[in-house]
Amino acid sequence: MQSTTHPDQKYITALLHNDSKILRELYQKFSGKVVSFIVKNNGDRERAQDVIQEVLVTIYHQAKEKGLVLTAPFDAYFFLLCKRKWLNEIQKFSHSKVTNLDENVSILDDSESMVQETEKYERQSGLYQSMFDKMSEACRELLEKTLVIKSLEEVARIMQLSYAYVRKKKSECMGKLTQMIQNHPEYQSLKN
Amino acid sequence: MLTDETYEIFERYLHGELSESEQSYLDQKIVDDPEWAEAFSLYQSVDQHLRFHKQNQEQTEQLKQSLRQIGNETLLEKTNKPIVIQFFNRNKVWLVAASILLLVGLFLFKDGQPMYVDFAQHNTMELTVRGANVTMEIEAQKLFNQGKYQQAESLLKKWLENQPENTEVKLYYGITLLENNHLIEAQKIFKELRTNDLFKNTAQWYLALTALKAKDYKTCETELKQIDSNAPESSKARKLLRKL
Repeated sequence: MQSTTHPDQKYITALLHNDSKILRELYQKFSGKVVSFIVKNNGDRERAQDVIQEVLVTIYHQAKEKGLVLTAPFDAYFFLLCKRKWLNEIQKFSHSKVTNLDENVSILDDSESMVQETEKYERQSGLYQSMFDKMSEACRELLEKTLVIKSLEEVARIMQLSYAYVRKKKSECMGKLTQMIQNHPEYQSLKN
Repeated sequence: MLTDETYEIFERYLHGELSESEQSYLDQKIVDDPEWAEAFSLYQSVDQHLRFHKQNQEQTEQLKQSLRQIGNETLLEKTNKPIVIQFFNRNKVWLVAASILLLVGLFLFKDGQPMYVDFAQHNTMELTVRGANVTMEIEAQKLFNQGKYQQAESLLKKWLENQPENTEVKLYYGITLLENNHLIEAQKIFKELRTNDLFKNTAQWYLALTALKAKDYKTCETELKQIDSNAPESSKARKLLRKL
């Protein structure tokens, strides 16, 4: 599948390696369009900076966790992600009139599917994290430890508990967490 | 029907602890029972995802800092460009030339001296907060870690007022002051922290950064030289010293 990787994959690699030279190039080349879209639609440069940063961090996470491979130019993919994120934000907080809604949609078939994948990844991350935050403090504390320290034996030793007890408790907390996720309306739409 | 025992089987599977017969039982259940199949897949996905995010937290913060810095430089900072255009419109060629020279000079100066932003990489704030009413503390850490220092400042100040002996909170409050250009107050905090053996070198590093931000390169150098050679801060201190 190597032949399908777009040369703009270098921007994904730059995110993975925190390569400030290429990241600066990314900002110089691709952020102008995003900034002018957001500024035109009730935003300002600072909000545009936040949106750009949030989108890049999501791309970074997806690339690192799921091995995202860019099969379309970065420009369209990135712009569409930023644009949709901003539209979601303003629709959430106000009923502001939005302009340029249909811009560029027709030429983005390749990018569209990548955008959808990234948005799905972001929604999934958000759902997992928000349900995790809603768990009891005891569960959160135990899970936090098991996430940082790979071996449950080590967690048990630190918490001065038996291994079997820690494993049982972890599975109970994880069970609760998966049920909370499954019961959330967002989960059904993520499954499809 | 999924029970606590079901999830314990999933957990033991993740650790490779199932016996052969238990493994066959799990394999069969996943084929026969869609509820099991879905829960098993989700259990693994959640475990992997949370683990990834937790273990990747520090790198994510570093990336966010780089992006914040690049974003500030490319999207927010004012340039001298409009002045050049204005002069150009008036057709005063010598002024254009002078502006260009000035710009070149500024860039040379920028390259000649180390910049604060190149060295201002802060650790993630991960203090344990306990008790029922810790919303403010959690919010303060979140804002700090997102680089929203303006908003974090007042919350950290309040937190420090509640716990004046908490040196870690004091350090992060100092960093926030430094980021928000309250250099004198920041310097005061770091000087107080310097008297604490555990924070001595960190505080010393931040005193150097405060001087760097104030473009007081001589003080910066003096502060850097006081960092112990075996301290974790010593390698970046040497790097900065070389550029001064």
